Amino acid sequence: MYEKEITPYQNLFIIIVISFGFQSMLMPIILSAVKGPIGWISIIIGALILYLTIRPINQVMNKYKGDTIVGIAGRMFPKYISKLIGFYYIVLFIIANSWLMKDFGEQIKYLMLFNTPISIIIIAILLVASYAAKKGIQSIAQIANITILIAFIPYIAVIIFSTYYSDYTNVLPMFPVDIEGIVNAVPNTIFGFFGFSILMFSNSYVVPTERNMILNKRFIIISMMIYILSYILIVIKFGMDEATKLVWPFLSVMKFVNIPGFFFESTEIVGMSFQIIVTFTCICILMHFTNLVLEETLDTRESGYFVFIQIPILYITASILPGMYMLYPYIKIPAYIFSALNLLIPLLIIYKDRKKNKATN
Amino acid sequence: MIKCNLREVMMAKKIILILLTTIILTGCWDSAEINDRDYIFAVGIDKGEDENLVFTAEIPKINEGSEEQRIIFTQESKNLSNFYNDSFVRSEKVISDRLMQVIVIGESIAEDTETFKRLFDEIQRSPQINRRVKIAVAKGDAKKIIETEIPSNPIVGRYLSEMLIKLKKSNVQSIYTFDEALLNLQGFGSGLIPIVEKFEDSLKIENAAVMKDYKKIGNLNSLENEIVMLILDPKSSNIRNINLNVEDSIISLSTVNIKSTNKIKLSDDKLSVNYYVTLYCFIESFTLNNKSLADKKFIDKIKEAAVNQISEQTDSTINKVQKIYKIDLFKIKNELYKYHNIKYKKIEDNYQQVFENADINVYYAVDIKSTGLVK
Repeated sequence: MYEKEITPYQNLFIIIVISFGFQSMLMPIILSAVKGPIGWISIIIGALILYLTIRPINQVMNKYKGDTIVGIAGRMFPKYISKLIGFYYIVLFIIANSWLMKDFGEQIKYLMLFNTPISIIIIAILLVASYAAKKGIQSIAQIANITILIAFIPYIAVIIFSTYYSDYTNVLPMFPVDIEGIVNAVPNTIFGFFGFSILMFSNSYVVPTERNMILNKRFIIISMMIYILSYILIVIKFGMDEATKLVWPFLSVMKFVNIPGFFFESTEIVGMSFQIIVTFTCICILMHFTNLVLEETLDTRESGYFVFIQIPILYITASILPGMYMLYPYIKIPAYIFSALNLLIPLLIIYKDRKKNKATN
Repeated sequence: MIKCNLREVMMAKKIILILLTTIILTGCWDSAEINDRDYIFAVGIDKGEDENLVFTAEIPKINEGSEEQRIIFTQESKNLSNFYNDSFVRSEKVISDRLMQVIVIGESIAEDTETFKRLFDEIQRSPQINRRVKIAVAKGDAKKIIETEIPSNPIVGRYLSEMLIKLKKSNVQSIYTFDEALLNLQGFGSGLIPIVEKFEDSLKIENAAVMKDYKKIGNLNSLENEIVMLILDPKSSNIRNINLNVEDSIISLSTVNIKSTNKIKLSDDKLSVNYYVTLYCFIESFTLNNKSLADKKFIDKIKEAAVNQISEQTDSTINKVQKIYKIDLFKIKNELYKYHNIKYKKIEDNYQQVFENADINVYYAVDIKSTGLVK
């Protein structure tokens, strides 16, 4: 019904935007997991691990052009395993989307619409996002494209103006290195590269596919740089003591935006307005890909209606979740499991493919 | 009979849905027009009775087109949010703190740790109050500061805000916003918050309140504050003129550039901190037709006198800060934590004792770069 092809760069934008949404959400966990301002080491390790898997997974995906990870699994494993993989991604995307929704809804509630019930905010976002998500991957890609230009880049640029009176020595001390903390934070940083899970599906829609590998690698590098920049920015602005106390450290930085010649009644709203577009795009992307996995797992043809089925599920899951501060301990452990499975499933497929190749040879 | 095809019905449904969505889902029950708001520019907070706080708010009459008139009202409430609730029934408008410029904390609150912490927590937690709101401690009651009628600039919030920005830019005061006060008090356990006091028919900010563990324990005068600022941030430090009397001549030196290095040594429990500060000066004023400045020996005498004078001030300030107030205003702990972390970890629990016994010295050198426009 809708155009089902995207360009390599559209794919790149989709996975960068979605990763940024999760990176800013998970920032408090990274900040408090590592003692001292060296959480960026965890980010580099996380990025490196993912970077190493990009080549083999792309080789497999190139072999089965047009198939997503669930489709490839269906060709390699018994049906029930591919179904299990499909259900895993459905659960992952729905839970991740409900976290994002809750986080986003609370931000709007506390900073912009003080009297509006959070349930109204969530349902409003869901209704609008579902409309966009139903329009197909091409629309999602174009939204991501526009988001990068009109929200994401200005968002990062505006942050530069908030570094006024920052203490750059807050990035110290680097020694002694809290190895335990760094290792513990790696799964959370890996989860922050959420685009990695999305590319398992989006890569199959890219035409031409030849540039997928290089652009996937670029995604890891660009996303890592944004992640580290965000982390360092918070650290230099607040110092570690204060940064670990903040519920939305990234948004709190926005309170310091000071653009000469501009008057803002509430400076953080400048950032919020960009953040709204970015997070809204993330929700659209997630809804779309949940729909896609549902289609593949349940073997249905074009069924955009799965988007609408998600609305009550997401609404209930987002509504019953506690406030973000109380939610972080609950995110930490599932994020470990999701990160592990996000890595294990592609690795399993790579392993199986190589085994199959050997048997054929 | 009107005949509609399916397409038209669908279109009509879509339009109705869009209209309903725009009306119902805008969340516009939050809206309050700018004309219906009263913006607080400054608030003074003092201690009241029964754990209450006395809030004195200044609201400029901006909605009425006047930039020079204001309303002041005082309200005794349990906390800031109660103050807004209580004010709600006193005015036909919505009280908003979104444009708050300055918070003036009364001396009674600054000297009470628990109340001070309660207040800071509420401001920090508030999604509406900007962390960049300027902050000052009042000499006496904050109410009197807010009520001051300044002829040249009647809006106290604006006057204090502009003054605090100026003092921060010229490095006369180290802290000027709530955020900085919070970061200093939480991170280092101490800080210097500007003191605002009445001066003739205006206000002045000259001294700084010494805060330790969220409590005002004393004051630093402007000279002492200047020395602390010089040690903390020599590059942007702003030293006033050094006035000397050399061989019966009065000479005034002005500092144009400052360079500083430090050497921190920590062995076991013995901490020694040496600052080496070079002041590059020029002659601001001397005596007309006096040609002594051509004499190198005379110049050396000026340098020596300048070093002695500033060293004396510095020693007295260090003594006050280290021995009397017993607080690390020079942020030595921060330096140790960042640059000598392994050694610092060994004395972390005992740092206060180590600091009190530390050997802190500032060694000055004065270099006269110019004699001004005449020899």
